[in-house]
Amino acid sequence: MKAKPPNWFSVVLLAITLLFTVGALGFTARARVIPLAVAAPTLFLLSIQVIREVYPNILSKFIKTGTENKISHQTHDILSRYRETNPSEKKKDPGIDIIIVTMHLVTIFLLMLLGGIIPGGMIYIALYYRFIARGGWAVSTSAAIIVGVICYALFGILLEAEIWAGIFSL
Amino acid sequence: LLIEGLTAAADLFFTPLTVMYLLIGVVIGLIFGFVPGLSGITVLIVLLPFVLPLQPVHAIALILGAHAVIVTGDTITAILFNIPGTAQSVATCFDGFPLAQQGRASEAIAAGLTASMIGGIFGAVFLMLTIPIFRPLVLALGSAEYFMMILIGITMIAMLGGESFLKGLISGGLGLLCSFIGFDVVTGSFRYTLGSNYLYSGLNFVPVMIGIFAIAQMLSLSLEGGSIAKEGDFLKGYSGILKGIAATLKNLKVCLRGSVLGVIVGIIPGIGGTVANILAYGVQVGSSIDRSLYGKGEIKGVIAPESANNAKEGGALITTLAFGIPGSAGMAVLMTVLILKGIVPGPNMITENLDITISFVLVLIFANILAALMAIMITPALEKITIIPIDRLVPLVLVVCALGAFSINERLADVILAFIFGLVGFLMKKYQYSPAAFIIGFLLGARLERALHVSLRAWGPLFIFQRPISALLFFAMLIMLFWPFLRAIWQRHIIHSNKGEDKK
Repeated sequence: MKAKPPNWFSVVLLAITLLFTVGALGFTARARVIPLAVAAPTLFLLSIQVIREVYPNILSKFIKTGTENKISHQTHDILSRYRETNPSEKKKDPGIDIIIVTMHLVTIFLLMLLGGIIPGGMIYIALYYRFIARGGWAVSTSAAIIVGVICYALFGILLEAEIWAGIFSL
Repeated sequence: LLIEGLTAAADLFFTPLTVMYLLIGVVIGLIFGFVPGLSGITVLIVLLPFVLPLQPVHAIALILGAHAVIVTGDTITAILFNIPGTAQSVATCFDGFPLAQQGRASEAIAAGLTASMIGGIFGAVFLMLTIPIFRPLVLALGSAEYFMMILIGITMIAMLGGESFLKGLISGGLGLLCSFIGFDVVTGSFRYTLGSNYLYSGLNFVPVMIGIFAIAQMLSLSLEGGSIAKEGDFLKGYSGILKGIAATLKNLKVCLRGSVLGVIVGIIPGIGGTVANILAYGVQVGSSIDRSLYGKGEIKGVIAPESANNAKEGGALITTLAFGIPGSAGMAVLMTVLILKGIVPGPNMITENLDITISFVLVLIFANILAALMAIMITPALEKITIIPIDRLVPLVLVVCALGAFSINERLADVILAFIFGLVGFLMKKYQYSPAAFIIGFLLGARLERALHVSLRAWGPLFIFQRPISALLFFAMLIMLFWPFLRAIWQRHIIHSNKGEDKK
């Protein structure tokens, strides 16, 4: 039987669930009832998932033909066929995808932390339009200012949020 | 009982401020439904911070008004550009777009919007009429039954909502585990807090939801990019509108059948609007004498799916309000709003908060009527939105999401939490784990634990078998869990026995 490497995300989830299970053992008898009752079966199911990924043929007779439900499969088929006839998704390497989205989140957070919540957000918008959407500086800055003013009206005035919060408020 | 509730709800609902919030919700829902790729759930998440300071009925008018009409807005792009605003209007494209190509776009849009309106009203009326039926049933349920119902709800969402049952169950389990983080009110102990003050009060619902749905969706869109529609396909004139309305009224039977299917799909947790839309289309094609007309521009192929996806909201609200089990991510957001406003979905909604429950019905009815009328009016103004490349909206929504997460408690830690769950949601979508099952598990974890402790105290460790309904629900869940395996074994047995007979 040929073994394949498991999906890294499933392995991460397995490790997290293992931590939840081990952590539950340290609680008082009453407090650990439900975390253990949930963590143990989740751990078991994740183990099956990882085994399925390593040995795709194992349990395939039961799980592939049985567990995946008909309704969602038929819906998924129709959606897939629809997407094939209306291609809009650009295919990229999944590893690069994750790096790109993480970079987005880290950048926006650092800008908000250093510049304050709304000013940081405005800088992010301007940079995004300038370098990712490839717009001119004038357009990018104008868009950022307009969004900043709207956000200030909605969050700063309406919700009375502290828009300058960031590294200075820590 | 209904008349009493209706009068109280009308007093709450028919105020200028409530109607204004409903109007704002409807306009926002239509716009978000109109923009393919943003997904309906994003609008609810973006609105979450703004509904928190509002009175319950205003919050319901705003958020349910938006939620109920997203599927109305996406009808237009499905017909004009062959691109549904959300997956809930996929089947509308099959006949809607060919009709637009034949120059009958306005007729198809009018028919779709009228069917959406009738479906939405049907779902709302169904919700109201079922309250007296569900009332004794809901009141007869105790903590043991609730414990089992929550488990069955999560199992059904895992089973029907995603592509993989196994991954759905895992997602639900992980959601439950995350809900146990923080101070446990039942035992008075801290769990999984890692010594952090931030985690003592548990993970906040709002940043988790903002992350797992809205931020994850934006991250996916930032990678997909591209414009939505090509110029030149826009609506030309209003000549076919009356023809479209007349077509729906002429095919009222088709519309009502779609609505019934929508309501049934809505009641069952986990199936969702996409299935309602496709199922109604499939049933309509299957029940027609001349099936060859479908896919080439048959107006009934627009009416049936459009009535179903709006009607399903009424059905979905039954399980959410009466039993406190949200059947979809959208309903989970709605339930969060109620909880944050101090209203706990469940039996109380039919006893103490009947006026609030019936105000849901009024919101559904008026939101659907307003949406249909407004959609016709604003379509020419909004249709150019669809040529904006979708990735241009990403930074705007990301910043609003970060601000939304921050504004709840004015803590930067909430922004970090939203971003972490944004990444988790993105990865869950990418690797086909179910974010909806996760969030529903997360939302129901505390109630599950409370029901368990009350039941243990009242009936002991074998509480499930002490009460007939909970025992029945337990066996139903076992059958649901093991049915696929039993069916596979049974199918293999039949194949083997057939082979044996062939050899003889």
